[in-house]
Amino acid sequence: MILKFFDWTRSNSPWGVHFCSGCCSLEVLALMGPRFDWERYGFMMTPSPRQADFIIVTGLVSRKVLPVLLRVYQQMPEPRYVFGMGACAGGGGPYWDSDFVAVDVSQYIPFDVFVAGCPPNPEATLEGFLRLKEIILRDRENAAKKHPNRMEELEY
Amino acid sequence: MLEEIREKVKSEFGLESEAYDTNMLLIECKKEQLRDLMKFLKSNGFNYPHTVSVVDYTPKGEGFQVNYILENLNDKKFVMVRVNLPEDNLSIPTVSDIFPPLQPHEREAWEMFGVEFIGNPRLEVMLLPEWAEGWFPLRKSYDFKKHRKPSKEKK
Amino acid sequence: MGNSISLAGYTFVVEETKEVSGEDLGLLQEKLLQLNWGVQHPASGPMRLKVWVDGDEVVKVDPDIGYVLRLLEKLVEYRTWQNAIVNVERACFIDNFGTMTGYSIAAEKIAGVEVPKKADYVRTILCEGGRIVSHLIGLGGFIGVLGVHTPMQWALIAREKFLDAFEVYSGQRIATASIVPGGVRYEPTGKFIEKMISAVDFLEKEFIPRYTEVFIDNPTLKLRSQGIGVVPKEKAVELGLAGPALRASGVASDVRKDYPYTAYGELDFRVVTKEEGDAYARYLVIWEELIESAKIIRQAIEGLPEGEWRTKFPIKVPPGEAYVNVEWARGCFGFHLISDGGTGPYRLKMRAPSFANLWAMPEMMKNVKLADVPVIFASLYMCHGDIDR
Repeated sequence: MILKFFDWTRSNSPWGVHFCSGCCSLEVLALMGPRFDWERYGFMMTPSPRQADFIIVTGLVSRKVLPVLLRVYQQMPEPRYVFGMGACAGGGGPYWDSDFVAVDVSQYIPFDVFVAGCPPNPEATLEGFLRLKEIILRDRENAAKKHPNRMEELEY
Repeated sequence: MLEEIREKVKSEFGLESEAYDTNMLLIECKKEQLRDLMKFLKSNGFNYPHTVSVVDYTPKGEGFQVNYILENLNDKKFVMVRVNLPEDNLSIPTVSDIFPPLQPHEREAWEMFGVEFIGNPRLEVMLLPEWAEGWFPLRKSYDFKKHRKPSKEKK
Repeated sequence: MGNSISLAGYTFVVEETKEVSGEDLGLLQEKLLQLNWGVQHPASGPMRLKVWVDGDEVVKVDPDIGYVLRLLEKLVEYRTWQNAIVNVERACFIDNFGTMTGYSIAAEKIAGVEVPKKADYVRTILCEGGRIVSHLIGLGGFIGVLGVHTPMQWALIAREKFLDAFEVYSGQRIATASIVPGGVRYEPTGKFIEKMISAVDFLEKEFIPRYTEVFIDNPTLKLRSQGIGVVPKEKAVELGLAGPALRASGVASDVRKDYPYTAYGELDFRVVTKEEGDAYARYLVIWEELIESAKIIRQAIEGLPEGEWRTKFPIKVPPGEAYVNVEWARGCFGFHLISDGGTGPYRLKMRAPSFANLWAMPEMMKNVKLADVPVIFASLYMCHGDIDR
């Protein structure tokens, strides 16, 4: 009963980590603007991962920045959620054949929501965020079991 | 203005040059004359360096080609200096003490192609991750994994 | 990787003395403190700056780049001439149109294709729209780094009007792929011209007067940014700076006036230069270029001719090479394109102006205070996508 109350409060003000490493981060910046205001739904960005609920993987994850992303993910306290944005998060996008881009990031961290587009419209991204809110509110059993599955094998 | 430079280069160094574009002159030289030619061009007004561009002509059997591009800001003209290198001896003296902004460009050319610039104070990996040192990815002999011809064993 | 405690972006790591020792530099203490202005930080973007400090003064700065590396120059060799636009335009994600224009002009020079007049004018309108959109984020970012977030929100309102016009034209807001070798891809309809005019009207009548009142002559802004990072005129050419940073030191170098391309030869505008060369001068250069761009768009819309907007581009291009410069939002972007008779480019080398500005930065950061490091960094107006390509 108490846990349901915590879920309700957590879903009404999710805080996300600033991790802008790709082109889609410009559409996240547009979401923070006055036209597609996301603060009325409770979303906010925080610079420190110790206080965050979710992390946005804005597409392009190059192989040099992959250890940094995994380290930031390890520093987030549970329950934590991952939001994949753009065509690069789900299969490489326009750089599918480059050797220096990590094409399939879902092998390392488990994803909750995918939004397609290159870059996706802010209205589509907002729809994805509302879906994330529902997942936080309802789906507590799956969230607690989401442990990273292959992270210890990765060499830094 | 380009005509004067053409005359002077011919009389001092004995090198032929041709017009590359309406505003640009192309000079081909050997690597021993490179540093003198650069000092001469700098004293004649070409003091803003643009970049160092390396082309890999190995599939045609002609080795590597290093291009230096300079600009004259007062008279609005360009000069491209071209040096051809054979494949087994990829070393060339550096110009980073004559033009200090070219030092990171030479570092990038080494990192991507393997051309050694003798005298550059800092030849280490910059853009590539540290475990990829020595891969030289922009050469024609390096194919991206998805485009490599399939071998007997499948990964 | 050492012991590290994450604290809002600055990570404290103490290095051993074999890296940089205080005694070698004649300082009183033995060890210098190394700070990481790190990879995950809202103000620096995906780049790391190693800063060695002695108390409050900065001793040495060293950038660490490569976190957005995709190796675009190699990817282009696997595509055809028209498909390579998809990769070339994503070199920088804030102003896309300059990179597409440069590549298209270089490809057309090798193939010997003449572009119709209407395509030239539409390319000019789109390029200037891209420049305005990018300068708005530059203005907001400079003051955002100092701690005030209002200009960024105001700039985003003005930016949305321009992105609406791009969406009417091509269906996408940011990465439009609308300038191809051979012309422009879509027809410029009346609705697109209407939206552009309404966007420029909003910029001139509402955004510029309000912004001028508050954020241009501001005493706090002047206190923090005048006299910081001064670069005199001869040193600017010697360091190899590019773009607004070069023009703020007194050197009048602008590719649109020196080597005119598309329709700039017939339009009337002025090149903005300032004399002092500090961070405040660079900020003012960006502001005045924004006002000039609005006038250029109005002139180009009035002089728009009739006719075709795209010609045929051959599938196989004869062998040759070309070097083309365009004036992008951040400086002079160079394309060295080589073809050997195939269906795609043989080698494309991109000369990025942010790369040159970045490696001139350690010279400018000698003996400044720690709080001036973000001010100089944001005034140089760099985009990380084209540093790493």
